[in-house]
Amino acid sequence: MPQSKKLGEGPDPGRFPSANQSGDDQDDRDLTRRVASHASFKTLVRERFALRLILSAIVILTYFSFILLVAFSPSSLATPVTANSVVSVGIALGVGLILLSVVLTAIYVWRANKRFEALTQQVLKGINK
Amino acid sequence: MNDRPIAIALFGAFISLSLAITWWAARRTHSRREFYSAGGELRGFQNGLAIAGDYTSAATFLGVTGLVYSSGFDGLIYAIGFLMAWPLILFLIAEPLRNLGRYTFADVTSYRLSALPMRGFATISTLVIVTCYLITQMVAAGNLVQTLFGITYPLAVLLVGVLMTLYVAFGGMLATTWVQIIKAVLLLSGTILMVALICSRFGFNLNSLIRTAVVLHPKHAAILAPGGFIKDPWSAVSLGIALIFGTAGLPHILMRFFTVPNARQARNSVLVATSFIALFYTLLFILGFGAIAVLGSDPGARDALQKAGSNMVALYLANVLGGPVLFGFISAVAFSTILAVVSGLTIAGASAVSHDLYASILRRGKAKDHEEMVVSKLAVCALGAVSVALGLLFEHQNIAYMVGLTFAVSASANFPVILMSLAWKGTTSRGAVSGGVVGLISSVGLVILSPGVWTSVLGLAHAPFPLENPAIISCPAALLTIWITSALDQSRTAEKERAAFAGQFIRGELGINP
Repeated sequence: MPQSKKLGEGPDPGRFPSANQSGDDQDDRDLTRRVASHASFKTLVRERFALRLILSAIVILTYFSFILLVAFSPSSLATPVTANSVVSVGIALGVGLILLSVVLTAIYVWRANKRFEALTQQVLKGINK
Repeated sequence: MNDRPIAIALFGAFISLSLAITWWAARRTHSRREFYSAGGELRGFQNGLAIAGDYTSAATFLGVTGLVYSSGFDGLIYAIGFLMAWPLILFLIAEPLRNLGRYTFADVTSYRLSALPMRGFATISTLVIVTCYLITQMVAAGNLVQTLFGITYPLAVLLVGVLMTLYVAFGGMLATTWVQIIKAVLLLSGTILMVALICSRFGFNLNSLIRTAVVLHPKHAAILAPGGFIKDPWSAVSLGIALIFGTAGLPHILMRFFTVPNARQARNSVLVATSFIALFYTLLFILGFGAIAVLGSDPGARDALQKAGSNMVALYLANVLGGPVLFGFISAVAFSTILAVVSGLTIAGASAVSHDLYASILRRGKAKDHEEMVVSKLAVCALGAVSVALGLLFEHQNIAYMVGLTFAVSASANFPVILMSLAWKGTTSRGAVSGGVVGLISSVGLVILSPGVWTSVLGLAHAPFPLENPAIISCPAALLTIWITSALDQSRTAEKERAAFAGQFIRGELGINP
């Protein structure tokens, strides 16, 4: 082997047979170790994991709070937002959740397209040098 | 109704257009890569629209409008669950899914786990989900087409079955995608048009629209708060789990992520799809309230709806707002909606048979490209025939439980397996398969024991399982089984699979495509 393996030369996803052989292959193990210890990769994984965790927690918490409110306290959702408004708290919350879904999705996509994409490129450049 | 000619003409126009697209797509579909994933070269924006077209079924369009019309706020509960599943898909699975998979989600779950059990399980769960969902869509399609175009139910079901078979067998994913994109655009423009017409009647003042609806609806202010739709707290939470996690396990939705070239386009598709679906559901809510406010003052329409059922609300409303032309247009839109969804389901079911079962399990990956394509097309025809047969069989059955069942199976069988194989190093084949099987059997079993089937369908007295939806039990049961079985798995394969996680993780995160 004249040169150690580069990223992107791995077997196709979904290739056959599926049991991954990378653990048996010295080049692959070497590559995996180099990527895993790369500083940018560590930053990427840490930051992305944190963002995914926070945003998922927001979705799950707000959604199930809404469902629990519907289930246990429907009357609180019936009260009008302001004294002379026809819009109820329930409808305002519902529309708020719809907006929240779009906003959270947009935050993640924006962050990923700027920051995570750049970090990914750094890792690829650093490893394939 | 004497306005059928316009509806039929518009519907004929849609069929001609979609068949022309199929012909165009067929000439560009030569390999299995093109057949399963439209070559994997779609833009995020196109795929986002197609996802929206795949996801917003006629059942949501007609059903949610009808639900808002009959009970107001309750329609919003469903809509929010269907929508909030999307950000979760993005945060939890979309990117590694795109980076690790190729044609079916089993490519991802078998990336480091054993192919035979993982793909075998994926084939079964995919076929269960696709079949249940197809039954719902075929029965809805049969009833709708029968009402709209005045043909008999069997003929209507046959028509839908033949058209979807043609699209998918000849045009593959490319034709399916364009049918879904066109449908998404038609559906959104039709809804915007109707909402604009409604709002113009109320001086574009939503407050006065809602106020009129509250005055006219028999339940008055009760339509602004949760009503009888949620029977007890546990059912509410269980339904919530099924809705929010179920979407992340639907095979036809997951398959759409393989039509884009990389994770960046996958993310962009989710943003486009989420925005589209959010806008659409918000409009449906206004549409439902508009229906109360507009149709409520028209006793004739109200009585006719009493007979026709709440699924027809959107169509009656179209008739009142824009006469036969709008009625015809919205009918054709509803029809295109059905075709787009059944096509997506069919291609997902067929690829489970040809890619997972035939090529990977039976032929151990040695099937030639064209052999796999032939099997896939045969599977499409078989699925077409089966869905027509089931559509006829279930015509007079009570299938209200079926959508809940589909989402429960998806949330309990597919979602836990995909999530755990991607996120947890310790997951082994033995753990993943046993957890998936537990999720599948418990969700189906508990639905059979639930009031929706036990009492309403089988006509037995007291249902052994009290909740309408089993996800609150079956989804955690599957996750727990995967965790425990994997942790106890001391086999040599298990060790290898854990060791292979590092490689899978890097590929899933960085998305290096060959």
